[in-house]
Amino acid sequence: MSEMHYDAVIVGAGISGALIAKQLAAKGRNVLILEAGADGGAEASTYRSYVDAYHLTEVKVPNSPYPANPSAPSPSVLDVGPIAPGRPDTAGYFVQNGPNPFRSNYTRVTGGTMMHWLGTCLRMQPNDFRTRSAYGQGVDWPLSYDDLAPWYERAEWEIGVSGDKSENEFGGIHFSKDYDFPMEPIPKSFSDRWFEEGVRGMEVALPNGETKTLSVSTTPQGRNSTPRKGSYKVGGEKQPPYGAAGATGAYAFQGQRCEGNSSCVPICPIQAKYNALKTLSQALRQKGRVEIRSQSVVSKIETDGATGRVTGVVYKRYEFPGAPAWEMKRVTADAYVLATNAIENAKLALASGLCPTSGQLGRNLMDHPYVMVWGRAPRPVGPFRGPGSTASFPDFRDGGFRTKKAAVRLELANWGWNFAANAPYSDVARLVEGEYLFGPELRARLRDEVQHQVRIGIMPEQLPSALNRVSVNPAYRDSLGEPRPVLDYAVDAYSRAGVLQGMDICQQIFQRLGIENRSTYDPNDPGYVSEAGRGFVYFGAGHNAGTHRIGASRHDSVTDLDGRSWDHDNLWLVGCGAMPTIATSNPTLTMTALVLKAAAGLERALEGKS
Amino acid sequence: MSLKSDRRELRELMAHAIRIELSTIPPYATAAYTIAEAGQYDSIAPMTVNAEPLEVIRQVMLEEMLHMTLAANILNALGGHVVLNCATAIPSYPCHILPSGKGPKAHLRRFTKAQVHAFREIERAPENFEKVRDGDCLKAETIGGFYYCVRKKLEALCRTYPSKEIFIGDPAWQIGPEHYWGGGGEVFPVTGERSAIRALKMIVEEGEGADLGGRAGDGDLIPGIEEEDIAHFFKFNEILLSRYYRPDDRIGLPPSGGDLIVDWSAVHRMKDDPKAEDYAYLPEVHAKMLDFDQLYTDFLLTLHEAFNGAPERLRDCAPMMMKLRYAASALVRIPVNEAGETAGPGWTFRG
Repeated sequence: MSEMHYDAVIVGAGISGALIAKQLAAKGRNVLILEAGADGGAEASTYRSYVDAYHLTEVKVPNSPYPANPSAPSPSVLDVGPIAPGRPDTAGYFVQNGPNPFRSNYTRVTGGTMMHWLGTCLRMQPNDFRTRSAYGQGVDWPLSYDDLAPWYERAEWEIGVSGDKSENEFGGIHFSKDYDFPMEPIPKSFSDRWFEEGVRGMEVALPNGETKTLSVSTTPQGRNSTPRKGSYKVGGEKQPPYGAAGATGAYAFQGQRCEGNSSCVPICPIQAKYNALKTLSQALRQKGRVEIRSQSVVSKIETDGATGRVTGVVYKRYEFPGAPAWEMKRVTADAYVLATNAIENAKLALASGLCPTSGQLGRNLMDHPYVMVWGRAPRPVGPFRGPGSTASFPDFRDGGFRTKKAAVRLELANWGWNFAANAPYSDVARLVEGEYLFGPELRARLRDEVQHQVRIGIMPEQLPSALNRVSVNPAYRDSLGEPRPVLDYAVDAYSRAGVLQGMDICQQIFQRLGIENRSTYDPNDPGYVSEAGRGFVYFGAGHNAGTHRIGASRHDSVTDLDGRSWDHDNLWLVGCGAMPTIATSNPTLTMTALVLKAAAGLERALEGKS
Repeated sequence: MSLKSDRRELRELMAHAIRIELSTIPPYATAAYTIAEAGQYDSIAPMTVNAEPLEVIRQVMLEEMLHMTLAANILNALGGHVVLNCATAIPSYPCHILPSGKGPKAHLRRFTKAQVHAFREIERAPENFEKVRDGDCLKAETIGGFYYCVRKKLEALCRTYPSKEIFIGDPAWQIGPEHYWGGGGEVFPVTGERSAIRALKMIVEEGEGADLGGRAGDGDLIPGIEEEDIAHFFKFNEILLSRYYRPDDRIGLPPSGGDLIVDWSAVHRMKDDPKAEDYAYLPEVHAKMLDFDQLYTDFLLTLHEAFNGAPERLRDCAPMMMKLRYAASALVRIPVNEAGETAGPGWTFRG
């Protein structure tokens, strides 16, 4: 039943898979991508149907544009419920053992979860790579900021990041002299500037004695702005000016320029935001042959017991999403790449009995337990325009306090109380049903209420823990008979203490700017936790990471620096699962840097073979 | 003929080219904005009614904007001046598109089969490019013929004189990708013969009077992976025939791609060729139509600045175009008579 032999088989058509396919195909390799999700993404009309689904759905959660697919189910943030001790929550795709619910999701479609990411492209700070040596917490990475810097540059050019070097040189982050972001920064929003003006010179004294002066820095984003003029050195190599061929056609693959549609999550209607379909279409234009086979759920990675080498991939090809019928197929290659996401990669590898030596596979599951603080500003600030966030306070992403408390990034939001309180829909309901307003009076009040909404998001780091893990259990399977991910997850005291410190800082900022605090946290919410007698609700940030971390030794990591499995010579595991720690930056950019590095290593390995 | 007079003639022709491109945009925009954007919910395949024809018209419109910008670059490169700040330079509807007063006529009408037919006529390729009489481009009866004639003149001039004597404009006035991007394709500065000819060819190939060697495709990439875009004439044909072309479909044969669903009834019933003056008896409507004209005028004045030495002003045009769209969409929802016909945007310059 074996089919054609490929140079590489990649599992997953998201950004990681697309980038590896593009890099290998540029060298003339034949690559097969197996994608579990339903056919789609390649046609403009599919993207259009996603946009329509988003416009027409009433509950606009991250996965709402993407059709529910029982044959390759995705977790939904709406599935999360409370977990009673000893009684796992099995309502959604995940089987959640708790004690706290894992509140993040991902999307199994061509293009992957990047279809609904926000686009934030922050680098990690140098100390983030060495929290064990610097603060006695977490683990050190097997490489430093400087080692990763050239890969960060390549990643920023692959994604097409808009950014401003000068505003991002903090906490030890530095940029090469002849390097710059490929596009000019997305301008700060009106409320960003209002905050910036308001906190100018403001000092915050932390309980541990440290004092920080607040600053507002523009966020680098995977979102089209104006291409930067001139040519730069990227990863040490001179590059021509960043191409901005524009958007002829409905959804030309490079997309249009951001025009502030304010629906980055769950979907950008004009593809101004980077998504992996862009890289996929570039991959298909390389000299090698890239084939994407969708509706193909990988079931088993086969290995040779003696050598440990992977010998083939068995997958289930289903013809109709939802129908419990499929065909078993098998494919072979010189190299195999798992590029799904931290949870699916671990699930598949565990179900196939891979990578046993370190005992770390599936462990150290991390996310950013995201907590929001919101209030009413003393003046209208023009929310609900532009990307979801365009700036943040970066000052607490590092500091001596990290020996005891998580670092946090304080993200300024542009969409009012949208995520916090389902604004403006909830405002309409309250004013209509609670105060019986209608017509011009309703419009005036709504405008007044909505225009004053501000929100800050607190993104705390989460430490790697062996107890936070993905596992598989034959008792829990999906409609194709594939295992569902079983999750054990807790938000520990270190992260909670960091959140509390972040909340205190937010209150000081609110006080200074005259913002009335309106944050409330419902003790019945499944994400309600407390620390030191103070409760708050955390959400998932969608930053699933850590389950197959890279490392210097086969005894405490799943793969080497380049994502090559210690136990299986021709198997690579890539994605956010590779990250030993998650720090306070949204992980996509760091992941992309690691993926590009892995792709280079993989190509070298293939060259060695041929 | 001298370099000076030849150059002057080319500048005049490029000014006409800008007007040609500009004159097509309001009719396309008006038709697009009369399409009723209503959700049609189906739990299996939710879709927005007429999203596809709307998208097709929008693409064509964006490419006309690109062409207008390229034409402005050529005119500036020749040391000329773009004029968009006086009423005589701005089309008033209905109008002839070509300076000869022959050929297609532009009306402001709602989205109907007849109007899409009219659009297709605007974009029809001439069967023979050589038909322009006496080498006088102003007598051209098709847009393709006009541009072909202009190109021949420019090429002749470039054969006679060195490039740097022809292209004497200030390079700082050129619109580049840093100013304009995301609308219909790539804008590039025109600095000499090569870029000028490239710009003229791009205008012709994408749209009016495509010469595509018998195929429907114009070579632009669209994301339907590894597919090409098609020329405007065929885009309008797609709407009329309810089916997409594939880029390698042969000219003269029907399209062979997927369905393009059109609901001709989901359209606001705008009265033809709206003018604010016609609604003096409805003061609120009259005021709103004048507001629209003012927005359009402000937009043109900004564009005028952008094309006259301040290319960075182009950035301010994007939100203005959004405002135009919102204002037009509001107008086409206001009924003005018992028959249920509605007001609409008049696109009148009121400087």
